Amino acid sequence: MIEWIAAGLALLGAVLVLIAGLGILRFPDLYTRMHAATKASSLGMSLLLLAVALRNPEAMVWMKVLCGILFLFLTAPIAAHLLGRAAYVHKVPLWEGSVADEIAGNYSDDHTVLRGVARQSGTDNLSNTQG
Amino acid sequence: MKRLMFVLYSLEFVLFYVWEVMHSNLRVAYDAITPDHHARPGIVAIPLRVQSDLEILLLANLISMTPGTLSLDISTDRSTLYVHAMFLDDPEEMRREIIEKMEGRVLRLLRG
Repeated sequence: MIEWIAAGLALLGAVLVLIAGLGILRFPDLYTRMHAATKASSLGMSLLLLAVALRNPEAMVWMKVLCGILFLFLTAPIAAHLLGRAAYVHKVPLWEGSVADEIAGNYSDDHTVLRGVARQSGTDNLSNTQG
Repeated sequence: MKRLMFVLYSLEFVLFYVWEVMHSNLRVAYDAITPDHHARPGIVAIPLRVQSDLEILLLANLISMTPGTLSLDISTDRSTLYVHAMFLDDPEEMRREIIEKMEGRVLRLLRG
């Protein structure tokens, strides 16, 4: 039974990584490609790791697998954020089908300062209640 | 009691996280394997209530790993998170969703 679950997870993981690759190939601009690169591939890798742990149920293996998944989920978004930011700063264009760009005009000329938008009233009622 | 609530919120947070990761994967995967592009990407500004490093890290991480949204950058004064969304039908709706569903959960988890 465990064998079959492990096999299923491995297959599903492999398919997800394949789809992530397809997404990177097919999506229209760098930013949308980043979506495929971060999400589908981290979940796919996690499923593959889980399959390995199910197949070899030893404490050490589980430990390594769980650490692997934890760090994957901690680091993938950071890598994505840095790549996305670097791309934006270097003026990699958004796809022409994009519907909004609220970051436009908020960087200083040398890109060291990014202005925020004014807080809307009603959205910050919690931040002031914490002494 | 407070500790119990923290455990419950943590559990709920992890379940929510896992569910959102699955959901986001299906949506992005669907767009990757079907011939037409359904994506309507764009960048929205999210005004932040969260302030500490840990809160911002958790929120940015959650946003990046869930339905077609990716944290791009945070403003220097930490008041605004810029998020790239893949299915941006309505910027206002997206803003509201992130503030209520994600930021609300992060705040509830860390501030109780």
